[in-house]
Amino acid sequence: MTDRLDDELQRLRADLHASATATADPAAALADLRSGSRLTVLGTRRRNDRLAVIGAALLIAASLVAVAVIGDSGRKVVQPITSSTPVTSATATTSVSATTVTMTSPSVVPTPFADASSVSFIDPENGFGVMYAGSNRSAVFRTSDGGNSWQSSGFVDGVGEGAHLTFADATNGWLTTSGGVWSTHDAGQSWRSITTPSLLPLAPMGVVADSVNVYAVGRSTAPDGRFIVYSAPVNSDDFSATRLQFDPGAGPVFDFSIAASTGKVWVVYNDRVFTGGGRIDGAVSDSQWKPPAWDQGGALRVVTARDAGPIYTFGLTGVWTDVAVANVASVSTDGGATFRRLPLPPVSSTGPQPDTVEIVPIDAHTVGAVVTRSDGSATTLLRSTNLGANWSKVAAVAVTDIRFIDATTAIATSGSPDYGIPQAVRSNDGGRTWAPLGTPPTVTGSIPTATVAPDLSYDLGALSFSNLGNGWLLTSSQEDQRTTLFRTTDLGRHWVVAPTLGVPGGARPYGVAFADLQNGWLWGDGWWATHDGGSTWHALPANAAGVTPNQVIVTGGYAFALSADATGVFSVMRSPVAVDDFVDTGLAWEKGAGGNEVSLSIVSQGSSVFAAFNDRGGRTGRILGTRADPTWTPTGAGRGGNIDFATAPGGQDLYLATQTGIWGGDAVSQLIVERSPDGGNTFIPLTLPVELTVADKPLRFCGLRAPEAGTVVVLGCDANGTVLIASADGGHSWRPTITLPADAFDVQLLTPQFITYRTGGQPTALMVSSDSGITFHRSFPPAP
Amino acid sequence: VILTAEPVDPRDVIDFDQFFLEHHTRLIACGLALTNDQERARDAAQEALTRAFRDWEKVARLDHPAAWVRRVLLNLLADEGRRDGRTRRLAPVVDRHDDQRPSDSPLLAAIHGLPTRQREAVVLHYLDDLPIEEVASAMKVAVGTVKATLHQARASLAITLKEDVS
Repeated sequence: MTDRLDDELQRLRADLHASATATADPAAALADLRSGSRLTVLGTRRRNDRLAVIGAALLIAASLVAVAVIGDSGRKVVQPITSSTPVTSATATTSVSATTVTMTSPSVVPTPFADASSVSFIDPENGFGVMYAGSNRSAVFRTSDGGNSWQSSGFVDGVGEGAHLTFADATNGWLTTSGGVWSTHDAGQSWRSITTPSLLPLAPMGVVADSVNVYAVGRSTAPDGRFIVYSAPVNSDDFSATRLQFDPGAGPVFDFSIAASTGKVWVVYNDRVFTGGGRIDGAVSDSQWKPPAWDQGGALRVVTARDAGPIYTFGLTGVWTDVAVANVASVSTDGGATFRRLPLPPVSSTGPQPDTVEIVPIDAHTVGAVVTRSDGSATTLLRSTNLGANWSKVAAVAVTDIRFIDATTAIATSGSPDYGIPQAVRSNDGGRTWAPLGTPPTVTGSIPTATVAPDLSYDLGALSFSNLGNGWLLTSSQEDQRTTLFRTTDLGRHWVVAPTLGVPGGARPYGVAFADLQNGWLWGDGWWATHDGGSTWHALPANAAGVTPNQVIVTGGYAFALSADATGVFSVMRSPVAVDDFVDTGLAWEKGAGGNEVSLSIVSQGSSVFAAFNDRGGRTGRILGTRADPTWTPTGAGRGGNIDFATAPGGQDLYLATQTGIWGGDAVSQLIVERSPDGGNTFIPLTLPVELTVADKPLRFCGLRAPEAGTVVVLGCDANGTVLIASADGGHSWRPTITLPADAFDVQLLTPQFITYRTGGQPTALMVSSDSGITFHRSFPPAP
Repeated sequence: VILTAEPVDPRDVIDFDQFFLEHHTRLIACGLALTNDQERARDAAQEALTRAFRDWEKVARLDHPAAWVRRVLLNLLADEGRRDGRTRRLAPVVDRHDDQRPSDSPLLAAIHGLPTRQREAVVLHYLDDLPIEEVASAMKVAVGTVKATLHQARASLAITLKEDVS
């Protein structure tokens, strides 16, 4: 069977590569990448809708302006997108250097602990946790209240991502990664690398410790490459080779399982099937020890509760032989001298393979069994207090890697088995219910360069300034798409990591909007609100269809949210910004024939609200007082283009801009800007300056802003850049203001003086001007 | 407005092209193994390499650039799956033609039936020939976790194959 699987894998590998080779043209693809890299940097070059979906890791929030260049089978179509259209920005990227990011308080990004292996509890109250801090270093924390709150113990240089943490007691602990082993003998205050060429952890759990010794598996540097079990007293780093040594099998997977208890250790070495075993009991080593069922064609594991109770072995036999596939488990109550069969809870065996049973020692008298459906779709925790004679169901659980600290307290890993980011969770009721551990605090002080990992790449995401100077920027790590919220209070000259306490660690918001210094919203694969300036966040409910908003826009003291229902109807709800009281506005539109990207443009003027639902062509609606009219259509609307509305704070005029002839309507593409002096009842076309045509073609419409009363700014795009033309007299006369670089996008104007845009150049950056665009400074990341 | 000219792009003097040519087809094959869809595999491979190009100055200095670009590939495809869940509620997803599903291998079907972590480990290690340490880097888990995951996956696949034979 082993040979057959390997043969099949090799055949499949060959088939896949042949299939890939048949359609791939690496040279052409490389040329395409190099020639099109700038377009890609704009984040909008997509060959089809599906890839647009792929790239839509982040959507730009409301009140942004972008230029989209949409490719389709090599035919490039330059297309404007209105200011509030979500725009893929997954490619607007930069490398952030910690040494160039000025932080008021150096910190690690506080996120939940990654999984059960990232925390280690000595008892139900006292434990340690490790978190990657970037720059090939990790931060260690400790808790004395069961993981509700954490205190920093500092950083450990060289400890990369995915570190496993093991503590034998309150003083002695070990960190292991694929790159090495570190130890502490002062409760995590200091760590020392104890890696040697022959001592690299091979066991899934890194090192294993009981109250007496610590064990690790290394591989001899001699030609025979033997695996050697090393041990050391827990309070020293004096590892020495034990007599448990194993000749390597054929590979490709060398897997060790180790159980240690009060100075005794049992080791099982699997290489597809059980390949070797051994045990040490005091001064006696038995390198020939074999667990029961060792010869039945499966891999086995050995486990025990720490320093307490029976020894268990378990596994799935018959996998690599022709005997029936079955779960098997054994138990020893005499320190491993003798074993007997452990009765297991019944499992389903109707599929091609049976459900699997994993033994989880709970304490000296109790053992747990985790039964997982063969397709991974369901997991149940059971327990027995009489060595398997009877099993009782504890709960259906959505966690893995369960480890009991005592009879009622356990740590496990939670998170979607598919796309969620896992995190460590805790149960205080024997595994019935699970809750996340507390998020550790921002670490300040000792390591000044750990604020933002210089080796992380960020996708610049949504940007929101609530007023001049105060802004929030959402970034997404390229590696794991973990999002980070940054905050500035000084025109974007400096940014600090903003807390997101209350937003789950696995959540991936892609939009941010703040109404003022207190009230803000994040949205993405959920949505959250803060009313305390971002100190804490809380989740808001999905609608009846289980959908959370695509977009949140703040205008006129309300937050407006656009959400779809199950039938594809998009509706707008709103809430006063200071509370969570979202109610339907009555504005709703059926999804049109456009792509998957829809967006909302919405402005308030007094008690009136004007909205455009853009879906390859804008449809409009308005609310007058409390009466919504989703069919209201001003003169400039309905001509094929997306629509943008603008009003100035306190101004009397309502502006509408669109470009006709894009998706139907007028045959001739034309930029239209109209002004309504009477609350949207009538609109007057504005005459735009003809001198701003480029190559006899008018500027394409990119966006509309009315930053203050009497002032309206139109953003036009041509092949060379984004041109801002402004009128200070309500649109009677115009003058060009500035021309931004061709790769500028996401232009925002909070006042005529305060302009921000993002550049798709290298590195991608956020540029800010506070003098009407006379000078710009790079805001994020800061210039080196 | 005068903006500072961009300096010479240092990535151009590092051998990105060789990396691209070496990994382009492999990444497509990797995407194929994960999606069984030529178009999605090609697009995701190109996007992953584009991101590598953009950050090449950094990526080239990593211990495992190949693992980094595969991590991006996994994220892209995972994100696509997540987005699909959302967009399906917005608009019907166009059905794909049969010729875009290049393999009817029972083994590939069995691999697709594995839990995500096992599936990714099998694809990266057995179908993409990535060393276990690089698989661990790409999956952001410990080496031991990859080994245990591969163990579980191989056991599942072996059983499935056995059932297939019988």
